[in-house]
Amino acid sequence: MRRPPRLFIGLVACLLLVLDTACTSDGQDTTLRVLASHELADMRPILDELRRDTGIELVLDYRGTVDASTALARGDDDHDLAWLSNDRYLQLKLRESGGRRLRPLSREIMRSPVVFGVRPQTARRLRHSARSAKLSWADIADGAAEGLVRFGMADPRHTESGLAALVGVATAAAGTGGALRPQDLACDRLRGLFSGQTLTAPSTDELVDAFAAAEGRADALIGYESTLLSLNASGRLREPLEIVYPEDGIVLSDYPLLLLDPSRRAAYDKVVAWLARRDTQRKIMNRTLRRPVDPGVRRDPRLRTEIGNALYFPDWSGVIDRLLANYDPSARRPGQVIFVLDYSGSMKGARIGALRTTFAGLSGADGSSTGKFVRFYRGEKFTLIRFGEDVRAERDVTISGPRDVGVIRGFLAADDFDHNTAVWSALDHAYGRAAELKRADPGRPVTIVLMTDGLSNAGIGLEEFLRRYSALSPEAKAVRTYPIRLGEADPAELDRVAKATGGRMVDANASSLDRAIKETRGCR
Amino acid sequence: MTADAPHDVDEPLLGIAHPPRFWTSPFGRSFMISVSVAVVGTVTLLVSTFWPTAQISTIHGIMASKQDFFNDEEVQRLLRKHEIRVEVTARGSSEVAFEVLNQETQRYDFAFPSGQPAADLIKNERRSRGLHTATTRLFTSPIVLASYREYAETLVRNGAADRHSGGPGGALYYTLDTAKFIELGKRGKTWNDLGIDRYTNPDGSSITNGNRVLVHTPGVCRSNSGATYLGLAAFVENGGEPAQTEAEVDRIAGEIQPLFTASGMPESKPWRSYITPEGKSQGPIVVVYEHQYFAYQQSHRSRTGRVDTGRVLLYPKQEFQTDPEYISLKPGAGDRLGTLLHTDPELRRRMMQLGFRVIDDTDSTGTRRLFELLAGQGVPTPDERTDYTSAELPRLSLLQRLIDAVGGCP
Repeated sequence: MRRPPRLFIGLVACLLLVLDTACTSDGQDTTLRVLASHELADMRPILDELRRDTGIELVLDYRGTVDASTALARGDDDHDLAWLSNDRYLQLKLRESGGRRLRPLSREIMRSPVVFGVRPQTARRLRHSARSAKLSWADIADGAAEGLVRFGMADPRHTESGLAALVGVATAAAGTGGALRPQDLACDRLRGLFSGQTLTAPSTDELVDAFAAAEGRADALIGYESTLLSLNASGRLREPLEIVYPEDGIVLSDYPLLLLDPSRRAAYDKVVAWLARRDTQRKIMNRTLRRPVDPGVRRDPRLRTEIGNALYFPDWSGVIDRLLANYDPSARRPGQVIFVLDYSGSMKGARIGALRTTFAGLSGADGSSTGKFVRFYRGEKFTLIRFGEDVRAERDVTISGPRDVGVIRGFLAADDFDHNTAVWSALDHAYGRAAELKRADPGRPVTIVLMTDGLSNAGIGLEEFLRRYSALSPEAKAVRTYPIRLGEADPAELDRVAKATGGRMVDANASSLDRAIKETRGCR
Repeated sequence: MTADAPHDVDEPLLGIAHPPRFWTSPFGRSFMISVSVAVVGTVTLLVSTFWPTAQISTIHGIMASKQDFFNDEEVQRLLRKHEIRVEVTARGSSEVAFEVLNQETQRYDFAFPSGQPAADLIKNERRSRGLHTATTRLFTSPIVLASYREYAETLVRNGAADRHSGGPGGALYYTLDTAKFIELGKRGKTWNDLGIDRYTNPDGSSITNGNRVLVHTPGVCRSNSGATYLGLAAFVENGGEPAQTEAEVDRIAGEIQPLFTASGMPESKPWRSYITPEGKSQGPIVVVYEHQYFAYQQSHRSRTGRVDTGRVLLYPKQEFQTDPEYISLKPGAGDRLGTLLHTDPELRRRMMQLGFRVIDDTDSTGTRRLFELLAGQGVPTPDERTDYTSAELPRLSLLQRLIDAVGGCP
C-alpha cells in the first residue's frame, strides 16, 4: 500500500483542527439545557460521546414525563430542549390548552414497548391458568384477581411507563378494538388487575430498585422492555425476568427530542443528526436495549420481532384524567357489592340458570377477555340477598379462595322461589345493610346491584322506598344502585331509582344478563 | 417520512443507487491525483462538510413529507453543485400554511406543502396581502395505503381488495375497495374478526390482532395525507361525489367521524414506523404517498438484490393525486431554487428515482416514465388501471369544515 503523501496528512490534520475548533469554540452554542424524562439517565455515556464528536453538551434535568409535559404545556419552562419518553401526554395537554400554538419541532430517537416482565415460575403458573402459551393483559388481570401474580408498576400520575401501561391495560379491558372513550371508563374494570399490584414508585428507576431490593414483594414488573432487559442484564436479580408481550396489545414510546427554544435550532439539528447516525443508533441499542428507529440496524436478539399490536391511544385528555382518577391508590380499597337478587317464580328455569352461569363466570370460569378483567378478585366483599315476597336469605362473602366461590354457588343454588316480588322492600333492606357497613367502615366503597325480572307486587311501594332513602344518612345515601332489568321489570321505575341514587340502569333484555352484570362491575 | 414528521435531518434509508459522479467533476479529478485510496473516505467527508461552506448559500424552506426530497443525499449533492444548501423546517402541511401566513419576519424562502389545499390557502392569502408568491408544479404522487402482506391478503379474502399480478406471495400492489373497507371499520370489525389468524408470525404462532380495521394517518388537522384520506373517505361515503353544501358536509362528517375517533391519537410519523421491524405492530395500514413506497422499494432492491415482498401497497379504487406545489416566498433565493428544480435535468431525474411522478410536456402526469424507471430498477409496477375513477375533494371552505368537524381541530 502506498503511503499517503506527507503534505496531505498535514492538510487533513489541519482541517480536522479547524473543524474541531469551529465546533467547540462557538461558546454559547455548546451547551443545551434539556428537560428530560428520568428514564433517559442511561443515555449519559452516549451523550459524552456526542460531546466528543460535536462539541455539544446536553445537560439533562430529570423529571417525570407526566410532570414535565404538564410544565411544558403551561409554557413556564425555559429549557432549550425537551427529551421525553413520549410526547402523547404533552400533545393532549397542548390541545386542551387550546389555541393554534405550533408544536415544537421534534424527532423520535429510539423506541421501546411497555411490557410485562415476570419470573419464569410465575409465568408458567399464569400460562397454566390461562391454558394458553401466549399471555394477554386479560390473563394477567385474571391471575392477579386469583392471587397468582403480584406486580409492580410506576405511578402513572408521574411517569410515562406507568401512564402508557395504564392506557394499555384499560384499552385492552374495554375490548372495543378502538381508542378508549369516556363511556368505556364509566366503571373501573381494572380493579381486579390492580388488586395484584404490590409495588409502586414515583419513577421507573425507584421502582426497579425497590423490586431488586426486595424480591419477595412482587414477582413481576410492568415497564419498558428496555428497563426490564437492562435489569436482567445487570445481574441484580436471582433469575432474569421473562418478557411477555401481551397479546391484546402494547404501547410503544418513541423518545422524541423536542426543540423548545427556536434560536438553538442549529445545535439541535446537529444533535439530532448525530443521534440518527447508524453507528449512534447501534450504540443506543447496545447500551440501553431500546429499539433503533433506523431499520438498517440489525436488532439485538433479545429484542423480539413479534411484539403484538400497538393499541390505539386516546386523543382526548378527559379520558386520561378519568383513568388517573380511577387509578388513585388511596381510593383503591376493595369494594363491597350488595347483590339484591329476585327469586320470584318467574326467575325459575332459564333466567336463574343464566344468573348462576354469570356468577360462575365472574368467579373465574369466564374465559373471555372482558370476563377475565371484571371477575371477582381477592379481598373483594359481597353481600348476597335473595328476595321474593320479602328478603329470604342473606350472606356475606369475602373472596380469598375457592371455598368462597363455593359459598356463592351454594347460595345461588337455592330453589325457594316465591310467588310475589317485593322489589322495593328488598332494596330498602339493602340500604339498611349499606348504612351499617358505612357506619362500621366509612372508607369502604359500597355499591348495590339490584336484579329483578318483574313488577313489585308486595311490600312497600317505590314512593315509600324513595321517601325512606331520602331520610338516610349522607354516607348511606351516597351508595349507588345499579338496577338490572330483566324480563317484565319496569324500566321507568328502575331508571328512576338509578337516577335518584346516582347509579345507572342496565337493560339485560337489550344484551344478556351476563353482559349486564359485567357492565356493573367496578361501578362505584 | 410522511406529512407530519415534525423534524427530520437526514434520511439514511434512501440510499438509492446512483453513479458516483464526484470523481468526474474537475475538482474530484484533480484531487484524485494527489490522494491515496486509503484516505478517500476521510477526504470526501471533509470536502463535503467543510470545504464548500465558503461559497454556499442556505435557502430556508418549510414543508411536510416533501422533505424526503431535500433530505436525500444525492439531491443535496446536486444542489451543492449550484452552491445551494436547503435548510428544512418540517411541519404538517396545514401547519406549513399556518406558519407561513403568521410568520412575523420572512424566515422562509419557500414553502412546499404536500397538497393543493394548503398551497391554495397560502397563495390566496399572500396574494391578497400583495406578498411575493411564485409557484411551480414539479411532480405529483397519489395517496395510497401502505400495508403488509398478511393484512392485504386478509382484505382480499373479505372481498375488500383485489390483488394485482404477482400471486398471493409476490404481488406488491392491491386495489382497495374503499367503500367495503370503510364499511368494515364502521361495523367495528377487528382484524381477528376478519380471520388474520390464518397467517403466522415468523416464529410460527398465529397472528392475532384485536384492533379495529382502521388506518393510521398523521392526523386530519395537521397533515395533507390525513386530510386527503378524510376527503377520500367522504367522497366514497357520499356515493362518489364531493360534498357540495355545508349540510352535506355535516351529514358526512357525522357518519365517518367515529372511524377517525376510534383510531385515537394520530401517529405523527407513520411512514417512518412502517419501514421498521416494529411497523406492523405499530399500525398495519398507514396512509402514505406512493413516492415513499417506490423510493423504499428501489432502495431495498439496491441494498439486498430483491424487493421487500412483505410490504405492499393498497391503491384506493378512487385515485387521488396529490399536487405538491413549490411556493417561492422571496424573489431572490426562493425563485432561483424554484427555477432550478423545474429545469435542471439531473434534479428532475432524481425526483423520479425518489418515486415522484414528474410533470413534463409530453407525459403530463409522469406516470409512464416513472414506471419505466422502476421496471429498469427491478421494481415491479402496479397493473394498469382499468376502472379509472378519480376522487375529488370538496371546495376549500367545505374541506376545512369537514376537517374541523371530524378532527375537532384546535
